[in-house]
Amino acid sequence: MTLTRRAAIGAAIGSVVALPAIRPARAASNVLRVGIGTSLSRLDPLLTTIGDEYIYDNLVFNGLTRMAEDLTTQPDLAEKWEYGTDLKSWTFHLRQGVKYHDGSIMVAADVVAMFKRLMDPATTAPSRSNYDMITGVEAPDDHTVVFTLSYPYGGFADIMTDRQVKIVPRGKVDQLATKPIGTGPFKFVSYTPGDRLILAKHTEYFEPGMPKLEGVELRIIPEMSSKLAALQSGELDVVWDLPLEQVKTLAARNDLRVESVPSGSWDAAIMNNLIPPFNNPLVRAAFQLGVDKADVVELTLFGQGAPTISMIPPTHPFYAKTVKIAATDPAAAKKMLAQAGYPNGVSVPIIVPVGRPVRERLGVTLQQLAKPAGFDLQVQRVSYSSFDAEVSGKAPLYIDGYFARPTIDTSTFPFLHTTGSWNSRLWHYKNAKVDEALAAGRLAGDPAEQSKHYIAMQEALNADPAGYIAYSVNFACAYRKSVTGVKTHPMRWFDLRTTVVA
Amino acid sequence: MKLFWPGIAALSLIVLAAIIGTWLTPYDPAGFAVRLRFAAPTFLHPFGTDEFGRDVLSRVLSGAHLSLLIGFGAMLVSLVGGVPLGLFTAFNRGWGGTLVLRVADLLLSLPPILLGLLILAVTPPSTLKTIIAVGLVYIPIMLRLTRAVAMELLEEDFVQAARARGESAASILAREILPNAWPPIIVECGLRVTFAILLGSALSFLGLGPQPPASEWGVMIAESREFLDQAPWIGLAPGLCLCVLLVTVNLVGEGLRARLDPSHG
Repeated sequence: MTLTRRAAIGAAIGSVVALPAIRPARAASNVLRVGIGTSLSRLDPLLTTIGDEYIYDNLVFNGLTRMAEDLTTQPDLAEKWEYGTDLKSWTFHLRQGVKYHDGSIMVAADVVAMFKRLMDPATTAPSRSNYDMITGVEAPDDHTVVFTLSYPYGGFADIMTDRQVKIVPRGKVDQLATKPIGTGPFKFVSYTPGDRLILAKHTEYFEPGMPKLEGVELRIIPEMSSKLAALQSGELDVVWDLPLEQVKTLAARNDLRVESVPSGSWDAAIMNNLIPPFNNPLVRAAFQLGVDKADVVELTLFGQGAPTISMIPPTHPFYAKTVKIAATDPAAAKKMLAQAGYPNGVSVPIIVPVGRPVRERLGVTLQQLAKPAGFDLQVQRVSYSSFDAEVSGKAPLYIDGYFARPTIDTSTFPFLHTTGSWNSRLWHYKNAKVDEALAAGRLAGDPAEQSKHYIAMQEALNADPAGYIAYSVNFACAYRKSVTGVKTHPMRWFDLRTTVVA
Repeated sequence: MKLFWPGIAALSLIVLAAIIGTWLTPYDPAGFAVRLRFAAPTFLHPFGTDEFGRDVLSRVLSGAHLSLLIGFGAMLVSLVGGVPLGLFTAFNRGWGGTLVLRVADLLLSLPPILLGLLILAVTPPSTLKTIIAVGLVYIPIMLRLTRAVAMELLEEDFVQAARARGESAASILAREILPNAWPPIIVECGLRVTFAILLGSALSFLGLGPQPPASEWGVMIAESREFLDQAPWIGLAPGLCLCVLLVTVNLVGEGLRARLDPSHG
């Protein structure tokens, strides 16, 4: 008994010690090793909720459409699509002969089954509310899918790019949690939580000549310093989601390439429009006039971000380049405060979330920069878990932020429209022009017309700010120079179809 | 023991630095200097600068009073709360005293940091509340000590004599017990200051103390974590200062013990 136990322990220790030694530094040629931060808790794409999982979603599966790095919507499993004039009926034409990883053929019935599953409350899909306009989904034949919507929705093809709505074989849904199958460029091989997820090339991928890699390994390393050490020693090829203060330091190394791209993620000083002092539009405007957003970006993000008017990042085609932003003028801001009935300035606490270092830094930055404009802010750190219960929509002034959403409608309407679901939990903002533009943008199917409405929205918002939307944050990754053919995606996932490791 | 006077000297120096330090340095401890961010220690910035270009030395100096305040303030709170309660439980052997003792035991069984968190987490944080929370954590310890000393003294002949003379409880307490109970209590106070500074910094590190841009040392250490490999001096300076302060207070505490505690050396 003792002997066998000792042998077992010995073997266990032996394997732990021996494992790193046996494994060669370079596992196999042309395999990309990506360092991520958190274990994936779900392999069923419809149920995924975190950035690390979305990387996997986009490598193993395809949606009807996909979003390119320039944020445009492109064909994926659907070759083309059209919509009825009322924007309530959308028809997607699927590619023919697309093969799943098990060799079977993808058909329209799979798409229908997937959306039925999404809409079923029992599935508890986190993204279900984004698709609540769908009332019917049908497959007239094997390569056509027709959606019927309850209200006109111009961005319907855009929301098909999202992370969770991926097409899977309808008969194999129950094995998604353990042995997932998709149509993506890489197929699932194995997953060890806390260690790594291994993917291999899908040899029958529908786009000829792709993918170029033999495989991908997502290595789970929570500690950023260990990840960076592994990257510098060549144990990793890519580090995902670099802390912004590291960007300049790492960019100086000549064996690494650091990419920092604007994303739709944003942070703001949320002002409650219902209670003093921010119920007065002049006070909000004074804050915007008195605090230079470019300085905020430099101090809070180490320059890794861009000032913005609304949630629409300056890199987006719908960004209102024509809007004239007044030059920062603390003296004028002070005058404006006096005009608003605060001749001695405004004194108010600013609540920042503990454990969100960038947002904490934003709070301290604003505390200093708003002083000359007559704002005396007292920083209060509150744990992020009690934000929902105690801070959101209640405190006069606090720091919060949101990750990028797949479409301009889903990133603006809920936050700025009077009836928006997030508006009532943030600033309780009310502006007729903004409401009108947001409602019109949602009903427009044509990008040129959408652009017109969203620019009008930004003009109205700039004249009457809801709060202080400070910036859109960059998203950064570090690559070894041997990695080519990959762009850093603003939505924080990867498109590795044309990637090569030399 | 021989280090008592050097300890006193060093502690006085730290207190002095805490009071006049910020007038000596030319920088505003909260003032930004974008171009000087993450500057390594130089003659102009002996402890370097932090992520906002603020002078770390100025920040450490302007935060010193907070650590001292929390340490000595919490000691006072535990003294004012613990000593009377200790005397009460030594005298009152009925249900009142027992109740107080049991509550104290319950509090003693909780880890100090957890108890501190519990007190602070329910309301918005401030320096004063950190002092009170840390002080409350140490009341049971002070109570137990006072009680033990007082009970020992109650058996002494001179106290028995006072009782025989028919003196009131209050008079016995004031004239017989307290003057003889002070030495061990003062020694304990010295130790409590050390622990209170440490616990205060730990709570601030967790976000439950003075709020930024205040430069309490625990807060500074917490903020410096992200930049550890880039600019280690931001966290090193408050860490070293905390270390020196704790050693100093300990030296003074040990010295007091040697001087006042008859059972010691």
